Amino acid sequence: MTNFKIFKYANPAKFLYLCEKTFIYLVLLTIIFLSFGLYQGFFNSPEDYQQGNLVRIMYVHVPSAWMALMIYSSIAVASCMYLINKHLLANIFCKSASLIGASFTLIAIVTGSIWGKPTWGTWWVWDARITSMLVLFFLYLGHMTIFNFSENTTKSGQAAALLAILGFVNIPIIKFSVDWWNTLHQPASVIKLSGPTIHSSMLTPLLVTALGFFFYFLVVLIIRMRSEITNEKINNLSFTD
Amino acid sequence: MSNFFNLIITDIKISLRKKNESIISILFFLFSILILPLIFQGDQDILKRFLIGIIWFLTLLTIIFSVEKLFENDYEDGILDQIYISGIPLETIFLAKSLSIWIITCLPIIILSPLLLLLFNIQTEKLANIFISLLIGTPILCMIGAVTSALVLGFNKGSSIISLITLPLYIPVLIFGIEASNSEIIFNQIGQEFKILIGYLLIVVAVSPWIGGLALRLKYR
Repeated sequence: MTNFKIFKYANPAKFLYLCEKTFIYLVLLTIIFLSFGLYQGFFNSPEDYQQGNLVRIMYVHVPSAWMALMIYSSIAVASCMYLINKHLLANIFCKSASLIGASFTLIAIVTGSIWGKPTWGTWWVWDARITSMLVLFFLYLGHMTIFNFSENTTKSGQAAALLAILGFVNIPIIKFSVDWWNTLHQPASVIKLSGPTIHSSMLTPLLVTALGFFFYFLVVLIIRMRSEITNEKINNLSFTD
Repeated sequence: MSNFFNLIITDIKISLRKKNESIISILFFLFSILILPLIFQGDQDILKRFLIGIIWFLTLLTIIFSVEKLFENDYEDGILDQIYISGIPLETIFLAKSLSIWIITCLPIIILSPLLLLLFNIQTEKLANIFISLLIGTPILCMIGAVTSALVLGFNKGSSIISLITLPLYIPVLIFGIEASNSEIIFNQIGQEFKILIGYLLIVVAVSPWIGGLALRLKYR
């Protein structure tokens, strides 16, 4: 395991150094991708022949839903690494990514219901995907609250890691069960075996915005992880006294 | 193996003698089911349509109530430490605990629920359905609940948050359980929902002792 180069950065000092070096570039990338993608999406892409200008909410809704799922998966992977290798950084990653993921989930849910009101005629439907997003939001909430239980970061971190893995195992089952129960949402149209069923003039801004969201996530993550590492240092100092 | 059964028997004896949460929670289940007709203002049709769902939902709440203090009581008075020191693996302790909570809380519910259906005048062909689906579904609920209960063990205010953590994980069981209870059994052919429930049960039985044991082990590092 130790042969992987990435574990070199499991050392907080080296990680902080890496952050220092790349932070400004990440900010730049975020600004470039987000401004280009959102400009293309909001002003330069075609209208939908049924929904008109309403379709433009997709450029916020879809990437944030992707990010919500991606962040939860990354938290699950980091939790595995934390339980196996006991890298402090993995725990700090879980702690700081959880809130960002929860807010992305909330953005996806809120924009979805704003989108749903004119198109489906209702703010909320108990439909498969919406319900599984809501469940994901609850999983995030549980994961966040477990960190606040005790001052001892390792103790609450291990419990939260186990919970994240449990939730990650359950997500496909929840998705499947809710699909089974009821569905009304449009089926997946970007990731498909037969190629995307969405036109490239809409797909390009969508993907660019998704990249922008990803870099934005990295920027916020680095800020939060830095403060969390500082927090940890302060805690260690006060324990030694 | 004899340790395992001894643990279960002691646990059942203790909870029968102490009349703790797990016994009280059955009373909670019964009372809330009997208060139900008042909500629907005596409308028989609505009651018949939703009774199965309500039974499932109340079962779920009952299990959460009874699982809340599953390990905490033993942890606080040191019994858990004693069992751990005696060399029994934590996985075995976890499995015995979750099985005993199933016997104390869920077995009465499973036996009572067909009678409750009779009480509310539901057609008799659903009786077997709800009986079997509860029989398959409740062990899943108990084991998942026991895992989360083991996770928050030792934290202050831990048990207050258990429902928030557990409820999202219960959703598949709730959906498939209700679907299975409402499905039709045609001579020897069991529905897909039952098969999915059984599959989920097998997964949970195989995986949860390890996660639960790991969660308990966190307290003894």
